[in-house]
Amino acid sequence: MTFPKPKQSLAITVNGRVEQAEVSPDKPLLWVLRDELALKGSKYSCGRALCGACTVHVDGQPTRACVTPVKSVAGKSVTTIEALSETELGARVQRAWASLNVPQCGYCQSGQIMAVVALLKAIPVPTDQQIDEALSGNICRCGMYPRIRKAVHELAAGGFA
Amino acid sequence: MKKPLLRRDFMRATAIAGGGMLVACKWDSDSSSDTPVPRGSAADNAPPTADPNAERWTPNAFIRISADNFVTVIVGAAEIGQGTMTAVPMIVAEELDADWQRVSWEQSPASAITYGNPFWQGEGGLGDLDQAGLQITAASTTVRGYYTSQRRAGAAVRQMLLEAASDQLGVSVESLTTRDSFVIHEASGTRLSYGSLAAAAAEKSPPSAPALKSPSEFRLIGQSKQRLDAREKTDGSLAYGFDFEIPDMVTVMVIRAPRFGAILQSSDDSAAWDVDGYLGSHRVPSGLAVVGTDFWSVEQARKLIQTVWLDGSGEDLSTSDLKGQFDTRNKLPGLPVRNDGLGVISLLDGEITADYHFPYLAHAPMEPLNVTIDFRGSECDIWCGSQWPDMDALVAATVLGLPPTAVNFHNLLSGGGFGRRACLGFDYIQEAAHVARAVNRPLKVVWTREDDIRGGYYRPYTACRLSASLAGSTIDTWSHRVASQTLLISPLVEVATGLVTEEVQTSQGAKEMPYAIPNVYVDTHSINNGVPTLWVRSVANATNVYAVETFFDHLAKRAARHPLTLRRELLTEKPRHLAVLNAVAEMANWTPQTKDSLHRGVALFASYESLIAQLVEAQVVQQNNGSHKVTIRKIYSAVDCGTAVNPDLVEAQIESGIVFALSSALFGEIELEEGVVKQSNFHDYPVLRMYQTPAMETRILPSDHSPGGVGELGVPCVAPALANAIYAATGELYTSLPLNNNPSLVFE
Repeated sequence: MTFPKPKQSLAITVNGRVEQAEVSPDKPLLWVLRDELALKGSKYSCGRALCGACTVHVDGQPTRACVTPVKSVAGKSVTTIEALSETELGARVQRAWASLNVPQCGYCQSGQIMAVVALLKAIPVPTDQQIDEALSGNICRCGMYPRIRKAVHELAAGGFA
Repeated sequence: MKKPLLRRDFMRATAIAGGGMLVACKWDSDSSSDTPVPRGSAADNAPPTADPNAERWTPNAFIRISADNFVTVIVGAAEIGQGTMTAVPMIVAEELDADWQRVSWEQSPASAITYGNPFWQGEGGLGDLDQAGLQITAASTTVRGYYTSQRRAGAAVRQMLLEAASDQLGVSVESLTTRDSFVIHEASGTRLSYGSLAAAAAEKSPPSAPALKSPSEFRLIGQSKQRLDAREKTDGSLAYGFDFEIPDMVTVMVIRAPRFGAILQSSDDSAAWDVDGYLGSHRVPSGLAVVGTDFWSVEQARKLIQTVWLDGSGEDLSTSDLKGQFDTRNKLPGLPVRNDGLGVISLLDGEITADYHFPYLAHAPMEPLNVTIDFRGSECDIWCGSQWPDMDALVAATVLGLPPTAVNFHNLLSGGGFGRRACLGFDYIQEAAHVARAVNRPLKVVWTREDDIRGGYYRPYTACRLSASLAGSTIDTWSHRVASQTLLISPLVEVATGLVTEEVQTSQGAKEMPYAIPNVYVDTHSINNGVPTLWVRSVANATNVYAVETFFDHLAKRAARHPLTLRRELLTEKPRHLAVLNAVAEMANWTPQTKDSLHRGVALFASYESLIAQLVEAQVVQQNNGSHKVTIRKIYSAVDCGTAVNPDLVEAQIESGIVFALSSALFGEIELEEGVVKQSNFHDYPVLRMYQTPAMETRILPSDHSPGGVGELGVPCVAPALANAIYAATGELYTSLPLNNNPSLVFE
């Protein structure tokens, strides 16, 4: 049985701001973001890193916030969907999503977009196989995978600038 | 049978503060009724509510035009991803000649009387409610149900704006035109915005039969437009139910029965009090409500609570036993739902027979269920993403002991639904109301993914027995028997009242078997057990069409006919069916003469006033151990959905249906062992992922028919088209899903 450890004061950088949180160090980052910092754009869907709806960037790396203890991001930089439009690539991805009618219910899309931005930063022109590898951890129950793939290819070709 | 609509449109407009207008329109059988104007609250911009004193006042569409020339369409149907909040505003804006850049949407309050879908008028047997229709978003009815009333509303308001402009300019209505939210007087070059005219237009009496555009005049309908809800769905700002907060709210998870229907005997939460944020637990009919300050605290506390359930209570079936049970039932005649020619002779099995089996399935929408509820003794507010808000509100009122008017149900956009959020058992809303009574403070009941997968309301376990006889090179007799857990709301009540006398849900797709076979018999068995079941996207079409279309290919082979040729021959009287079939074959460049290394399978289906043919192109290669490796190369879809209001969103729905269908065709299965659900999350209840998704091509055939539904259309044909492609390679009839359970098949 896991008992929550006593609360500690932890400093984490979220979207460029240093936040001081009084939390149990084992509390998953997702619930610190959502319930302590009122950043609800990162979603809960599986709680076990199976679906990717909670994907955020930790020091630029796509990370499943639902299984990431908050203590492990102390001193690191966390970026969530809420800050994405402030970056050029993030804004382009969002334009692509709107333009190609990528979202349906939209619940997975915060995570999809965070995963796509991380992919395009690491591999500016990904192959289909690289797209499969980078994005297969993100479930879209509405099944918008063909549109996500198309959007990634068009972004890689310089679209939506 | 749908009753003809004898009612006529009736509208009322009212000016709102700041110079705008608000329009309500309704169906009403009594054109002389002098009904009051609905009350709008211009101050807070809230939608109006119908005057409860106006008995026959049943407005079902609202449009708001503000002085700054924005048009807001208040939508009665729910947005569960299918594009409601774009398609319905497009329909209104078309006839209104509104500037699409200045059109927005708003979710209506919950009220069948006010916002019900006209599709369901006369369907419910519910007296006054029938005047308006049910406010349920199901059965692919949103566009086809609201299409005419929304067009008329837009056209009538346009007419009123023209009359107001005519007054102001002192010119005839005939000398005026409209475009992009302006009334234009060409002769003088004067342009008046709708916003500036709205207050005066609100004084005009609405025309009862406004002229509608001919399709050739459409500027929006038929165009692929971006979704109006795209921005908030890509920047994290949209608050789904899971994200919604009210002041002083606590979070609740429920420990539900390990077996469906089991009764809680006792619980021990002493260990849970060590969890910071745990606030206690309360017994509710569905189990034990665990209360805490936030999701994580409650989740931790719940793990530490011991529960004991009454011995012997609860359903203890094992799914491995169901095959035999259902097959036994299917050896006996059921309740007939179709009997053509000498179909009844099919009660004796034909020369070729196959027994099919389909597992329980969970909907698994990305956003797990949740209900935020603020019960204050004499009134209650509820925030929830629902496909059936009016009934959810009514059920909550019943549990809370409140009059229906005391429950304000705020419907939110849903993170997927697939039927789970239109629950005939009203499980989550009843439970939340019980929790609210017990806890007595504002709260949100949240479901974890495990709660969702294990929580029941599955697509029912189903077995089909198909049997046929050939005559020469064609099919002479065909019988299809369905044994399924019933989806009647309450079989006894419905049969007793004559509202439903047959399994309209579980016979879907079997009863409508489209081929011209002289002798056809379809009958059903309704089976009840303690596993709660519910409709899942495309309902029984998914199972029955699988049986029909794979059995058809099996018969074609026995008759030494090509599956395309025999289908064409048996569809000659059905030109729309034939057209989608021929289109999909042409898209894939498939003819009976095609000889290459690929294997193809086709299936077709019509429902929701739409038709589809889908073709799977696959590579099927025999391995050294005798098994077959299957690689799906591409899935083609040819769609006739009548008028496609927004073709790109139609295409998106078909793609969505394909992915949904492949999930269940390949690996979707809920199993029970002595009543306990085995699956729990996406690792053991897998759904399709990016790397498993094949290429797709969809063609929408041009049509002037009124719109058909597309939300479920893309689902039923995928699995049989895939199985038929594999059949073409192996000659083996695959009679159960998911296909991945078949040891001789390996999917890449």
